[in-house]
Amino acid sequence: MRRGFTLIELMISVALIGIAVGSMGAATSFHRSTAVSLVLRERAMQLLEARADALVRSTQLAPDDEQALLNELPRGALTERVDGGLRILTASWNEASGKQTVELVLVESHR
Amino acid sequence: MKARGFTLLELAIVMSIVAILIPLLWLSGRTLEAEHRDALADATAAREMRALSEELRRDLRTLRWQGSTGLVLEGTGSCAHVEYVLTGEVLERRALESCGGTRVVAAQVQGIERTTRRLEVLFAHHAGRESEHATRFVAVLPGDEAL
Repeated sequence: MRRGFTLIELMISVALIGIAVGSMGAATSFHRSTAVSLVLRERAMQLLEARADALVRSTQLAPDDEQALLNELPRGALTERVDGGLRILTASWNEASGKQTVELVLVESHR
Repeated sequence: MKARGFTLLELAIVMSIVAILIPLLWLSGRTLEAEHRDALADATAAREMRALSEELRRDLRTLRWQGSTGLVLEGTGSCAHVEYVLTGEVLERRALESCGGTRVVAAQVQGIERTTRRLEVLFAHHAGRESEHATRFVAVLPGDEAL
């Protein structure tokens, strides 16, 4: 009667362990890139909110403050456009997965 | 008679593979664990920064900073005094009960510093780690301009 494992069975087991570890690595990598995205998105939100605060208070965001916030984003940029009664602020930055943007829409009020 | 068990060669091959794989698995396990913790710390820091930013901006609608540094806000009316205090690594917003009372705004805050409009917050995660992982945020908050 045959007992124990053959070499091929053992090698298959080892390969399965390797696949499992590889999957864990891929999942962790995805988790890590999501977390980095969240941090960058929050930094972009700080940039947008600072500009929005200045607009709401009818002031200008100081250039050095704006630059300090832009420096927190890899290849960060801030644009502003008016569309009807809306003022749309867009922050963009680069990530490993490509260019990301987040927009803040302000409704112009006519007092 | 049929052969039973392994040959010496088979055993030697399997032992070699296992000897190579064990340190690799151990190392990759540690790296994965560290990366998972860092990712969790980053995600938590981003969420806590959002909460802090919203809380501060809400206060700055009615209050003004007292002085060019520090985290004390003052104004007029029934909610005339609010301050943000870092105790250990917990950032609390302290005010009268009628103005929201004392509550925790963010945890794992290693440092917070304001210079006029600019606020820098450093979140740190170091539970059970040899090396510390930190996430830094910069915010530019309203100054003395009227809303």
